[in-house]
Amino acid sequence: MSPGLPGTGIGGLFYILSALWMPVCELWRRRQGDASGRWPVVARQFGIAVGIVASMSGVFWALDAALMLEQVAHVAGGHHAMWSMRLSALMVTSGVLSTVLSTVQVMRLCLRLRTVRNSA
Amino acid sequence: MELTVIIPAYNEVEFVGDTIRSLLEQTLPPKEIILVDDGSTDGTGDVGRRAGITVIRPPRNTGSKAGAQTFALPWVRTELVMAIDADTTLEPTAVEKLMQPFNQPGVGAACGLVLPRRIKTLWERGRFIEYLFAFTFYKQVQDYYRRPLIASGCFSMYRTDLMRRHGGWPGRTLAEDMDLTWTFHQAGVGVRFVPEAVCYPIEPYNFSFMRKQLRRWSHGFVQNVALHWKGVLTVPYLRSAVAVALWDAIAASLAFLIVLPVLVVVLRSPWLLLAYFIDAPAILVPLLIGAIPRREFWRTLVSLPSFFVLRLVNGFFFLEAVWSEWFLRRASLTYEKGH
Repeated sequence: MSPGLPGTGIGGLFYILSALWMPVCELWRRRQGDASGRWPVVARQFGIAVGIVASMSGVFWALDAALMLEQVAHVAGGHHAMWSMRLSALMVTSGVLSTVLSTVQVMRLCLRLRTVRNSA
Repeated sequence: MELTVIIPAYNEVEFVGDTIRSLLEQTLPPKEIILVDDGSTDGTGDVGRRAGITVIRPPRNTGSKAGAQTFALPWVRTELVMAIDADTTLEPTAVEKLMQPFNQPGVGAACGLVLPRRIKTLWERGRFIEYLFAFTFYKQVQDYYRRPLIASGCFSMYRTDLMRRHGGWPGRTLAEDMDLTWTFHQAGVGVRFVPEAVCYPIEPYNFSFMRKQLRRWSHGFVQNVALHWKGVLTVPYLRSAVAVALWDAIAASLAFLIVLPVLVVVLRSPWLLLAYFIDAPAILVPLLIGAIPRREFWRTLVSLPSFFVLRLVNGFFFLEAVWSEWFLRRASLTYEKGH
């Protein structure tokens, strides 16, 4: 969700994963000799990402406790296992994100191939 | 390094005095401030002349902020140029902080953190939450990967020679700042986000202004995707961020405005309405991390419900922009001034 643009779901997941990846990236950059003291930013963003994951886990726990998910699942027609619903929500979001990112890579490769073919 | 500030202004007599004052009170004041009086009829230019800054006036209204800023570019004689909206004030150290990234030779543009100056109405509160969330989390992550999605037009600094080479601020879309940022990324020019450089614009305080701004932003984003998609595909991280933002904006708009209401009715389950707010705790995490050091904890909590209203309204205008620009092929290029 950027200002003026609606969003939830895969946008959030994308930035959570980006933030969780930052320590690895920072270690890699340091190994390459790029030591510009970004650890405070890395730690802060990593902490935010962990906090978001924890808070959403808390939300699902609270929903479980209130048996809301069970009711929603029941009305939705069949799935009564809360874990499977939670898991499927996560899988759908991750699947959509993977699909979007893969599509971007495929488009990039197609464009590159076309450029190479046109210049040949 | 010396700096010239350009203030594009059309009938901004109410606010431009504060903007000029905050520029003059900077810890590192600019060498020159140029007010572009873009055909104002309310005495905006007189405010600038009384303050002793340079005032220029195009022969007729340029039609957009980009046009007014580009009109002023030939007057700039310094290495750096900054654009600031006529209703925006700065923290006293903002200019000094925003200049720092330019010590690195590859950096061509830098932008600061934006927060609304007034936070009273539902719309201002919603925007406050959007900004606080985005600038505390998303934008900092984007900056870490060296790809800020946008150097906000209300407060950004550039190398003057670079702006000249690119012909100034482009007017081919309704979001000239996004257009310029993506152009720079494609050209390998560094763009940085400096969270310590804080500015305070006047945000839309009623629906009429908000409608104009959201229409401009939504159409601008959609236009920029259409204009730059091939180029953006060549820029690592930016391509993913843009694709995700586009998908998310379309999917979230459809979900909030169509899918969820239909499901609630069809399944007769009011519990599904919880989906509108289910991410509130997740949103609160970066919000509170951004708000507590600023001592804005309560203001953030009180403002949060407004965000959910604004998110729905954003969805409506985004779908309208996609429909109009991509399906009806009606490009909207009329710049409607909001705030």
